[in-house]
Amino acid sequence: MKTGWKLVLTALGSLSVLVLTASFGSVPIPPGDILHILGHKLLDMPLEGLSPISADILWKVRLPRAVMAYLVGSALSVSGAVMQSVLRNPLASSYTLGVSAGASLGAAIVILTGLTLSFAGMLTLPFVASVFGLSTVFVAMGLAARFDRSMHNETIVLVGMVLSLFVNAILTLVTALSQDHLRQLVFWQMGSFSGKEWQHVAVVTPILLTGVLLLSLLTHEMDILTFGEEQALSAGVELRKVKPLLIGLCALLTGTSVAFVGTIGFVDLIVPHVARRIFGASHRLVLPASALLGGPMMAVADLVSRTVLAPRELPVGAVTALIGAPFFAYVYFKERSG
Amino acid sequence: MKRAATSLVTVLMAALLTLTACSAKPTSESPADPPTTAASLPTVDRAGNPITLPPEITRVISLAPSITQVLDALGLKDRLVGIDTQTPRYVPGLDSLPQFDMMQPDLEAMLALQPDLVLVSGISLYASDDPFKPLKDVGIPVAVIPTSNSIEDVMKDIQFIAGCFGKQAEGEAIVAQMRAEIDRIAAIGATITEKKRVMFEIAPLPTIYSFGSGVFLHEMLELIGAENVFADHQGWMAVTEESAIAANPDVILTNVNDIDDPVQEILSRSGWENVTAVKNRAVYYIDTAASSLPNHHIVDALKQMARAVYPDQYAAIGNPLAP
Amino acid sequence: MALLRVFHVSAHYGSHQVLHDVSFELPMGEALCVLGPNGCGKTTLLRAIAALIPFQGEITLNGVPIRSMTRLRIASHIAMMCQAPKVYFAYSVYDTVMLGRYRHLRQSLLGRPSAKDRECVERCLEATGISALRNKRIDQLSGGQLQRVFLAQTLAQDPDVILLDEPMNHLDMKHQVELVDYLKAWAKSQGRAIIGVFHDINLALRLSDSVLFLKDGRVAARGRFHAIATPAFLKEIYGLDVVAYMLESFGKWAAFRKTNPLEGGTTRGASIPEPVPSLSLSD
Repeated sequence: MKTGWKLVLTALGSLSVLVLTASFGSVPIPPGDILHILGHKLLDMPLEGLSPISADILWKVRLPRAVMAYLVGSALSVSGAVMQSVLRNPLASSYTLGVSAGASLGAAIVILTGLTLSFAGMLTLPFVASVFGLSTVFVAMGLAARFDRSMHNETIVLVGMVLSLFVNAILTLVTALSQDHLRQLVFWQMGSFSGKEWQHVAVVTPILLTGVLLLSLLTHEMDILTFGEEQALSAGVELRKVKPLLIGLCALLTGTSVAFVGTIGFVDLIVPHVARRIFGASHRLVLPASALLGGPMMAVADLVSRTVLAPRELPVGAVTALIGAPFFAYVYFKERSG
Repeated sequence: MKRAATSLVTVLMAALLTLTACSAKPTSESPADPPTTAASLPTVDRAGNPITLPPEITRVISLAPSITQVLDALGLKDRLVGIDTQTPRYVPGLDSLPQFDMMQPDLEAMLALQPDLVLVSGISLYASDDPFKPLKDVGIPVAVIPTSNSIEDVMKDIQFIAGCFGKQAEGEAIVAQMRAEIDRIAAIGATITEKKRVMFEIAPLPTIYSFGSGVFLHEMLELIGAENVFADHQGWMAVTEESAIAANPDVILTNVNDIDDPVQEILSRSGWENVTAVKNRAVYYIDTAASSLPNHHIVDALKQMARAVYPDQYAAIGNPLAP
Repeated sequence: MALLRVFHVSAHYGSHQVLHDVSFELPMGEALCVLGPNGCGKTTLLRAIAALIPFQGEITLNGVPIRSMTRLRIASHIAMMCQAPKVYFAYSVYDTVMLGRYRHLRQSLLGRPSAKDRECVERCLEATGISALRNKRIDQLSGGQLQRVFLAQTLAQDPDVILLDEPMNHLDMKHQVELVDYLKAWAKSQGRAIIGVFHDINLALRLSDSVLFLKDGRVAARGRFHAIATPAFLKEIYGLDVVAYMLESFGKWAAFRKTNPLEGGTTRGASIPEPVPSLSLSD
């Protein structure tokens, strides 16, 4: 039961990091006050002697932001792990099939037109962005299936890349023609957890949880797929259903994340490798481990982005890339050399 | 890795663009003051590069709205033969002129207009140090006016532009007018003892941009007798949401104009309910152009800021930007 | 009765037709070897039988067309050991072999292996001689070891028919001989069958004397090797005087035996250090 304990320890560590990242911020709030505020918010204890501003910062700004970073980090890492196995490519990422390009285009259209869907309200932008992100992946899969009935990975990746570039070109064109909203577009694409509220967390949580749970029912399929499609077919995997399902679920996770926080790279690429180093390659362990490691990693990256030069904020994507790129090189080459 | 590089470039670009004319790039070297005697034309531009100007300038291209506004004030609008794409919304009556992208101007088309002088701002230099070399090589003077960060430098910019056309006196007049208005505000500002703490937003959530000292808007906050909540910091900056809340400003000013209702957006932010400015609904919009284009119009923004922060004290000052 | 029937099967890769009207039957208990030069369609034939590629014609298992079966159903009858795939992720040997139990694991709660699954995997590890490697990472194995892992995985699927595509080209002679003997016994047991593609005619003959010769995607001959493989036929198939080549080799061995007069390789072997398991495993 050694791996079981490892997983329990990872889960405990993961949650402690979440608590820690929620405790630190650009404004210092002593641990005693934090407990006090949480007691006030959760147990309705009186908030005597504490500034309501500290309580607002902790409860309405910092916590939802840290939780959002944790959720998105988990979702992206799980989806990265799945994409790497489905595409049999350790360098594949959640974004390989154009989710972020599509979502960015969707977001751009909302920003430019000021569109508000009555049923989505404030969440129009994330809604449209995720619909566009998912559609891009499905179009990519559809095209891949047309070009190559057996949907080889090379075809899927290639079509995904070409479609990404194409959608990005449209985005560039749209951006160039709309100087007025350039700031919003550029900032949106950079990715940020700033300004995330509990209502965002409440929308994202069920989607991401469902995606991760459904994926965790398909771990054997992912395992077999890493040995190639013929192997998987021969073992009895209904590939024509399983592969689009896996990719679709990944697109759901990534698309939802991108729609709310923009494109934040590297976490989805690195975390699965770390998970495999600790837990071996079996997806039964890699998936939960990716979720448990990806969450804190993203939460820490966000912590760095909001504290290291406080009160200045760094783009979190730059933080994940600055930490992630060298770290990835280290993990990847170490993994290969055993 | 590539993504990192791209992000950094976009950050920089965004900073440049957001602040329209207010570049984050500090101009550390203070260029020698151009000679402004009536007899002589300037021999160096505002970036300190030598330029040789023809005695009579009849065809000029301006690649920044801030510059075009100055030309307009000098009565030189009819000498323009080309403008940047942003200008028409700030200076009326120029829609028929050929337009150029500030950041990627079509040099061939500029050349074809046979200008006597090209005036560009620091924004046009973001991609390379000398994008206009082909024009200079054929003898067209290109004067660079880096984005100024102090009111004093803004005044020098105006005098420089006027000087290029031998209109030193007219330039002097505009600057004198500015000084008079600024002094009038400053005189009131100096009497304010209970200074209100102000945060000025250049970009809203999720990426709040504001500024510390070393920016002309900061100077303006001080002039009206207010205190910039980020005065301890330097230059333009993205600030974290929680430090903005923790700063607990008495008044929030915003010159954001690319969202529908920037004031309402601030008032309805979750977690900001107990911020004094939000609680008292002391959140005001300041004209974007006047507060971001570094030229004589900043005085209009100054008055608007003064009236927003201290309506009683500045009641006698008219609002030039009132609709 | 015939376990597997292949009726008039043709297959294409794009516009290139690889198989032309191939028909044959495979009775229970038989180990059939498909022989022929490179590019004659051997692997394609196996792929068609495993329903990995589209084909024209009909393939039936116990009279049921495989086209009408789900993948899971096919997998319960046919397992194909593909030419050892590239390994991207560091699974343990045990986990890799367990994946062969996919169709069984799928039925259990949360996909956890049952006692039967574990027992089956043990048997397959044993049969392929890799029990000692069970906890090793597959990316640290030699080509031969890896091949045995995938053979074990294929066996773990517990099908009626195993399709083997060059399953032993990385193995040393000892393991080749052992595994061929094991597979032969496996095929004879409880109504099973094997179709193997081998380059090495000697190995093919050791596994089975029933062969199918393919030439340019067509069946050139089917039957007992000795009945059909005349020297002229082999020369036509392979474009080489196979018999002369073999005899030349055997001539060398005969000469070797003359200069090493001790009878019998096994007794001779006593003076040579017996290969210790670890040595033989590291290839």
